[in-house]
Amino acid sequence: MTSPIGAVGGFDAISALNAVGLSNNTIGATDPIAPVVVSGIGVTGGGSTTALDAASNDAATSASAQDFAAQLADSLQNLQAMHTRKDELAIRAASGNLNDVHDYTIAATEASLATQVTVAVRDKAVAAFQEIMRMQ
Amino acid sequence: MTLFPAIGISGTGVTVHRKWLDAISDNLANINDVRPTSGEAYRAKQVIAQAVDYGEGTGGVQVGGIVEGNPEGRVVYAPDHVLADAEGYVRMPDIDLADQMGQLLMAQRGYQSNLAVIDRARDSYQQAIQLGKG
Repeated sequence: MTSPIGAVGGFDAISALNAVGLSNNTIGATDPIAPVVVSGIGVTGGGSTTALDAASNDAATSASAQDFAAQLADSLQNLQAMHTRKDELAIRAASGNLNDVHDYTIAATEASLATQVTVAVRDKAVAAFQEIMRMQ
Repeated sequence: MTLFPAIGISGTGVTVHRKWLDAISDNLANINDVRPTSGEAYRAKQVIAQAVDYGEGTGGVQVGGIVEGNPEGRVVYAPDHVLADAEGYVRMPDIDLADQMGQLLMAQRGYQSNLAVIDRARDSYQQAIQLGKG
């Protein structure tokens, strides 16, 4: 049971992502991504932790002990916070209250990169889930 | 700790160099200020940059403070000036134009190099993300 998940590698990528420090914040409860992925991966994620955890470091190990659903929710909260900050700076730029131009461009760059990371992780997770579904 | 530390650290560098540019522009704008000898001359601003936590923690740079120059300035003989005292002297700020222009170059290049780091870091992160796709 563990081999297909481990081979796909999506979960350890997510663990590493969380170890890097996706922090918490408030999340919109209406986000459509969280419930869809959570239901599929939450079941299969438990069995995938054994093989690769021995090789990973302490941070990754403790992170992978956390439920994948919670990790994904954390990362989405972080993404939400980044976009909120970017929007605030955009408003300040438009209203002439922005001291540093680069504050906005950096925030926009970070929000864009974080979105790309989250989408990449989501794609991996969905691909892993679909791979499992094809086994039957 | 942020998700993209290199971008955040370079962002602090850009901010410090922006403040340095502000200080230089203020110094150059006031370089020809004339005051009577009874008053204080414009005090040249100098930005003091210092590391955040000195390698411990998040990294980055910050403005430790802005040191102001000598209020005595230079006493210049200008008997025709309306602000001249009885002996014909006025007070002008003690700012060296060549020094300020040199600092201007350094501040500009520092600003640009930090932005270049952000650009490269973004490209690198994007390549890492591409690795997870496909």
